[in-house]
Amino acid sequence: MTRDLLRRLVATVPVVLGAATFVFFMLHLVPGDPVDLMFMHSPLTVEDKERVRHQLGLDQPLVVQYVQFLGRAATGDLGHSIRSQRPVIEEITNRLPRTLELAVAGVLVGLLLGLTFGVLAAVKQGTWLDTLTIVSATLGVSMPSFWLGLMLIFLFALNLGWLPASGADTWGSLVLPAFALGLAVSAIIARMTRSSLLEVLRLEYITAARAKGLSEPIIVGQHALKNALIPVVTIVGLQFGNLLGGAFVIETVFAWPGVGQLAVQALMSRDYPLVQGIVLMVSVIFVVINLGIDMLYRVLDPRISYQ
Amino acid sequence: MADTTDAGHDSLEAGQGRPLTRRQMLRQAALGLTLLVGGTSLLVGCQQAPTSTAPQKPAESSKPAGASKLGEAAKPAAAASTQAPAAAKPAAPGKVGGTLIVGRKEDASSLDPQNGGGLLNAFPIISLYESLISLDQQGQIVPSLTESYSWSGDNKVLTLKLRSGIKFHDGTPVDAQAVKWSLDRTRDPERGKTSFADWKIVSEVQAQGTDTVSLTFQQPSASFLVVSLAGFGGSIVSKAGVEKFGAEFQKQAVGTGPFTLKEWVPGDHITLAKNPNYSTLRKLFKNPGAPLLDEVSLRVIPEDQTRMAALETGQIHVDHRPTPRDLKRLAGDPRFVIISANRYAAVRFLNFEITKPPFDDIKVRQAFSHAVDPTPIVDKVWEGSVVRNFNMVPPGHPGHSPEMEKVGYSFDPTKAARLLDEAGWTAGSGGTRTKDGKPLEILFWTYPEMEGDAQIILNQVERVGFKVKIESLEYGTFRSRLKDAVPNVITMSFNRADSSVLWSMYTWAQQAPISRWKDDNAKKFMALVEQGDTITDPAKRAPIYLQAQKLMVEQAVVVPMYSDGYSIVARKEVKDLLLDTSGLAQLVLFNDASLG
Repeated sequence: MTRDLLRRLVATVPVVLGAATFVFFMLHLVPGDPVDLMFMHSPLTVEDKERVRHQLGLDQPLVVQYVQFLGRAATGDLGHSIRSQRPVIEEITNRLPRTLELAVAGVLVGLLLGLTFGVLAAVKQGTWLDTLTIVSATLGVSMPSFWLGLMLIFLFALNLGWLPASGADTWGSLVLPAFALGLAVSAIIARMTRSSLLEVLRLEYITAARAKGLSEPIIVGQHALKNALIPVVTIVGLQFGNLLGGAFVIETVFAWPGVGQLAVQALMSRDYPLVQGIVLMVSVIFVVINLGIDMLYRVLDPRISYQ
Repeated sequence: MADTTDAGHDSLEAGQGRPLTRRQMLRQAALGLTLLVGGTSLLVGCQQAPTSTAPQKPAESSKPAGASKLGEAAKPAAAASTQAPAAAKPAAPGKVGGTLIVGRKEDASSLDPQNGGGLLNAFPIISLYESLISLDQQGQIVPSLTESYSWSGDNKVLTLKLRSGIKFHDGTPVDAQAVKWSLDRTRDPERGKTSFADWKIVSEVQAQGTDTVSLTFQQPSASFLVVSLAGFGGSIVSKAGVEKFGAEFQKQAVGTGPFTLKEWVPGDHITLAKNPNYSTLRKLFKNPGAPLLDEVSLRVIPEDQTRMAALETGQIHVDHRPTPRDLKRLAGDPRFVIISANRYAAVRFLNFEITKPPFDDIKVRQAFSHAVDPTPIVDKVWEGSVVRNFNMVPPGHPGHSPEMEKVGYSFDPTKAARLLDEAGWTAGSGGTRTKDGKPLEILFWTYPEMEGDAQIILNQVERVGFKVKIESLEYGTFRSRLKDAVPNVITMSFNRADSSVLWSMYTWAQQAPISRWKDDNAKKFMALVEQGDTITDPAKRAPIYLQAQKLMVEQAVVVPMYSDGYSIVARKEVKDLLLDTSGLAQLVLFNDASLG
């Protein structure tokens, strides 16, 4: 197990390095100059701007900047934000807990709704409940999260006045963004749970359990669900990564002070070190979660081995 | 507001606190499904009414043009001459205490006025710091940290006498040495990243005694006082504060302003607490002492519709950046008050690429100018929140003149067609003109904020035979790619609270098409705007800037369109908010403000 873990940990390095390299060069290929945007309303001459670029190290060849970036990143230094001039690490760590809080809440919403409806749809296969779940899940996957977010604000903040429209002051502030983020996930989980559970319910050991006279809730809850959950766990892992991406939009809609909102601002102002730092951080989280999910398989099904 | 958040709190706890049995879980799941289905239907229903996410109230929509306040703000003549501050000013003094919550679109990046960032930083900075001089509601220069100021005979030395007894938030005195140190820091190109370009004309700052500071200029500059010394970049910072906090100073803000910094949670809020020792000589305020409010919380809510929902539900008191559509919708609504600035700093215009066909021919530029009518843009796209401007100088500044309406190109499609005929572009099949077998195709670049403008212009100019392709680029990309001279015409916007906007738009815009106007007329134009800045008497500056504008418009290098008005929306319980008149951004002054 430990050797498995170590081997897989080493295998994550090229993934993270690849993501960092890709983002570095993509970002510099996108037109836009941070110095130009920084001095949008200041009458700076070309020489003034060149001097600021020199101060920021932006006048160096791209490859040199890249090597410097990797060298610093290897020692945990992601540089300073061009816009705020604060260390990138500090900017990210200030905001990361908020984003993780939102993503975890989104996954919980997704799991709660997805598992519930997935199980119901499988158990009541072919009934109106099943059809309704499938239709709702399709709608849930299709709805753009920003639109859903605005609709939730419209309904629950503006019309009903039950929840705040924005901010991160109270637990109440978390409800709407978590639902906006989690509904799409719940739709995916519901579909996966349904199909996986239906497959398991057709297996012989379930027939044997029924022949022994076990009640249906015990068969589903204790015998079928555990085996049916393995593909669902994969989906949850992958979706958690997607949720971090979805948070970029949802955080802007709900004024949630997380990394996503920071990334949007950083992109708009071409704050290269900050964008690079955020992408690096998100890729590390994504890789770590996937690693964790792989390890979790073995707990759920000891027959699985990576040898 | 408290009710709203409490309700949310309770509802979440009710769902999280109880462990569920499987039977309960199934029951609740069934209930949840019902709710989800109901919710989904509702959402689908909502999608069919895409007009607004805000509730439509019949009473509001039936109000006659309701936008009286907006209408007032949209009249340049009134704005320039009435001198009536647009903020509501009840006779009774406001209530003391309370926290005012303002919704902002974006957060600041630094609270050090001399160390990077942009106008987003100015909003908190003008409450935390003060400059040596300031502007009143009519844009006239008035003392702030100074008692008085005077120019030498040759307008090259500015002498400022400081107020006595003023202290920074950290208790250190605001004396001549402290001011000299702060001004030197501002104009240091290695450190001052916000404004040093404007400060390059200052050759020396001297402290004379304890209460007098003098600035020596390489050449006289009329715009320096308004843009640089009174601007937020000219804020006086505490030397002791800078030395104490070092690089952290940008998060600590030690100035002399009416508020001190209590807390800054990046991306979420900045909380300002009242400075109990504050006093001011600025006649702008009816309250010469410490602010009435205990605190002001500046909340970041980037999404326009979310911010408006927060205002309508009482989660915030002020929406600092309402959309034109919301301004129109809320005008006349008794729950809110719209506060509009009475001065302008922005000019928006079209700019031709005159170095390549077809706009290298002045007749084609003139034809395009005659084919464009900005009035529907002002009325429909911006809902009357901007003002039609025939000038390249913002209303209320020297050189802005009604005469420019006659100089410019009135909306006249017939004349446009005739000019195109004269230029050899003949009407062909499909409505697009051709010359030597080539169609009159135009690539029009814009950015998201001005897409609506571009669509209307496309519709207008295609009627006279242009074939227009619009490309809307993200603003950073737009700016960066202009230097390649790809588009034939672009939308542009410039902000500067002075007529010297003409100078900055030409010299600053090294990448924009305007910078490639280099004939004799361009040289005359540049000579005029440089001359204009050396004259400190506004009356004498005006004809010079008028003449410069005429050259630019007569040569059809640009098509002046409109100037932005500045309006914010507050809940009715908010009293005596004032808009700052430096005009570069929508800045709010909280000295007199109160909650009821």
